[in-house]
Amino acid sequence: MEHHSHVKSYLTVYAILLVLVVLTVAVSLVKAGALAFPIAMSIASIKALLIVLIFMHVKDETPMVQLYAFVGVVWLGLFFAFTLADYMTRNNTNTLLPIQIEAMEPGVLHGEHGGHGDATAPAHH
Amino acid sequence: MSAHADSPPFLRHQFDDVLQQRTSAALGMWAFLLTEVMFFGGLFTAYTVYRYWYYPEWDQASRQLDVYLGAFNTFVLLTSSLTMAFAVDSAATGKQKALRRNILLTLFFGIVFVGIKGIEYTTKWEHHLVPGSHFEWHGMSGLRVPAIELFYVFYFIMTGLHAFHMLIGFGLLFTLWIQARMGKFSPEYYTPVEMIGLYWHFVDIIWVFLFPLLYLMDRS
Repeated sequence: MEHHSHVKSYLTVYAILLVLVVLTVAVSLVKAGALAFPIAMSIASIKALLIVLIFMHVKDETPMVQLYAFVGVVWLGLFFAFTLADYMTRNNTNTLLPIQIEAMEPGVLHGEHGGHGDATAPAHH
Repeated sequence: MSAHADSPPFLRHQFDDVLQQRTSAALGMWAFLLTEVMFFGGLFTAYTVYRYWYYPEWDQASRQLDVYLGAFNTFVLLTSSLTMAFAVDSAATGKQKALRRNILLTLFFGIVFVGIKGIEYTTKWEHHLVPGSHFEWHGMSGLRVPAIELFYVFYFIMTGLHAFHMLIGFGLLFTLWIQARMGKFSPEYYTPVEMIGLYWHFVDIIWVFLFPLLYLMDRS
């Protein structure tokens, strides 16, 4: 628990965070296609890492606290990996555009086949 | 506890020394923040699945949010995190006046954030974009409207829970300010300032992810 002031490093982190906000808005304005989402999430992750390490002092914490902070990321990673491994590999019609569903099953979007016309009750195949 | 007769008044008797007490508090706070990661993690995972399923609808719904107000609010919240970090620094270096000022500044930026959120919510209500019987979609046609409504369910629940955490933060900051005025903190003991700082920064991190996910799906 050293008591020297961190003001300078806080201001540096703050400046980097503001640049990253401008950058993430700028990236969303250009046509980045499939890269847009990974870029936006990478920028957000860098911002979160800076806040955790510097503002939340995890850089200078005991190994036990550092482990706790790290476990949060691991847990979130497992939760995402196992959930998405299921949902992303299902052959469901929810990922189709309405025009594609209409081509496969005419009328299904307008409830002519038993009222399954809304997105909460997706068409079965 | 006679063995601790010469120990400082802020040292609870169950701890051996000040360092052990401070480390236990930090560990406990991080354990709480991990439960918060799980709490918001479920919402972020569900968001990802639905975004993947209903991409065309969520893309159009996202474009209705005010990106300038969202970006400005990100700026306001990051500034409040800076003043919160300054508050911890002031406490650690024994600057009592700066501590009280930085706590009030953090509270001020937090209130500005929630105020702007209120303006955004009002606009969404006026545009019939609040889920429920009031909901209407006047944007691009040929989309599955319930999927658009689902985006706004996520928008209101995620930003609403975030704003609720901010409101709790206001109460914590106000309590800190009262305690600071009573002279409770010194360079030897300022653990509550540090722990509430951790909470405040955590709520900031949630917004750091909410902003690109909700406002910036694709603005090109």
